[in-house]
Amino acid sequence: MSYIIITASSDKTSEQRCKDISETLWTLQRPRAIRHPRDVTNRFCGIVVHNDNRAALTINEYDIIRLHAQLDTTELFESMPEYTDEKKALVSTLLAENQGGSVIVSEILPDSFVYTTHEEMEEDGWFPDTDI
Amino acid sequence: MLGLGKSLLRTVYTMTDRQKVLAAINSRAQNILSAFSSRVEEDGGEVENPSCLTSSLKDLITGSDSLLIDRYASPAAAYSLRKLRRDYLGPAIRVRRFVDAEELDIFFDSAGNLDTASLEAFCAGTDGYVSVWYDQANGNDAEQTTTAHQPQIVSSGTVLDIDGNSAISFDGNDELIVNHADVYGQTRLDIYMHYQSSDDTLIMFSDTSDGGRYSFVIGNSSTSTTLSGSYGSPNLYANGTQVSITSGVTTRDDLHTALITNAASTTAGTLEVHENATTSSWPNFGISDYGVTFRLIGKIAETIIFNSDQSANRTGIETNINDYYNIY
Repeated sequence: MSYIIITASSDKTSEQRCKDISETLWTLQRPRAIRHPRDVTNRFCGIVVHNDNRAALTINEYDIIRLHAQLDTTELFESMPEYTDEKKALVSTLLAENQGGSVIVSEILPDSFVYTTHEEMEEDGWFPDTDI
Repeated sequence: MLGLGKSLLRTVYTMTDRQKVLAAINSRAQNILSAFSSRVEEDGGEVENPSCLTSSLKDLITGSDSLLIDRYASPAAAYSLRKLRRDYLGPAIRVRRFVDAEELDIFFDSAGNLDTASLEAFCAGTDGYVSVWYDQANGNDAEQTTTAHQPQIVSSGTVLDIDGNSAISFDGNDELIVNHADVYGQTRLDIYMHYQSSDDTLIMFSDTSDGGRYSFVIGNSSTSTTLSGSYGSPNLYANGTQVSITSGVTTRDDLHTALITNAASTTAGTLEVHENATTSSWPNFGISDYGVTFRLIGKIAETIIFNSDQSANRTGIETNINDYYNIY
């Protein structure tokens, strides 16, 4: 398992940004417009929170996201200001070409995101539950 | 239209009538118990465990079609892949199929078992994951909204099981959240669960903050004697036998031996009971939720949580569960 630590923004905590990104990734697979009112699932990946309030997405570089034919990229780009214009264009093309199919998650996330291993996270003070 | 009206009237009448019958059965059981107790005491004897006797009498009078919750006190929450209450008409689980993320409620078949035919038809050869495990007692459903943490019920079109009985599989990264105050913040919980696991490290219940509130810690080769956190000092039973716990002496490895090696790792799994636990300081309640190390790798078929003293009913409840699952 690997992780992506998400920095806080001026108006959102790291944890809130993680939740937003996880929800946004889920909209690629299950767009809000086609969801049933009784749908329960609303996030793609898990979140871990450090004692110092940093939060990280629990996500593997090669996790697969299935893409709905009616997906909309607006929310995706709004949730991650880390996207460069060049990457936005690449991702838009990739998603359009693969609607109804699937993509590898690392191909559509911003290039500045860093995948951190479990061991590296532990060394950085994450997962204190191992000491209970 | 007229036919539909007649049908509805008949349904209402039948349910009302059945409730009257149940009330009469309860009343009759109490009367028989009262007469029996009086006679024993007149003869200088003592009725040692009247509540168990009440249950036995109700079993005799109601017959085999009364289910676990019909026979015993209503739990705070009851999650199972078999029907536990005759009047429960809701679904067992809500399932998300992997292929297109559609979700569907899956009910019970006419025999009270999980409707595996509908479930397998819905998943159509693919995988299915549980987003809701419905509470059959009070609507205190256990949920998981994140795909990566949803436990699995169907693999490549086949319903997962413990020794032939449907079961939900947790992969060490899955958890279900019970965000209902009937379960957390309680001074007493008696919990019955049927599961199978060969996990080395495991905490079955905790609050969701990883804040030191957790049920028994199982740890293969661990010499730690810290066995739980803010969980009281509950009695622990595996397959109907009490597991001896000595404070400061019993280790997490001892629990691993008693609960996993000698019980849950078997083909039939185990029936584990936590009796007189407390969640007084817990802000919520999670199943297989503690951190990243202690989540369950294994399968759960049933978890029934009482927030009242069920020690007098324990043997009866264990027998009911064991009779269905044939665990030990």
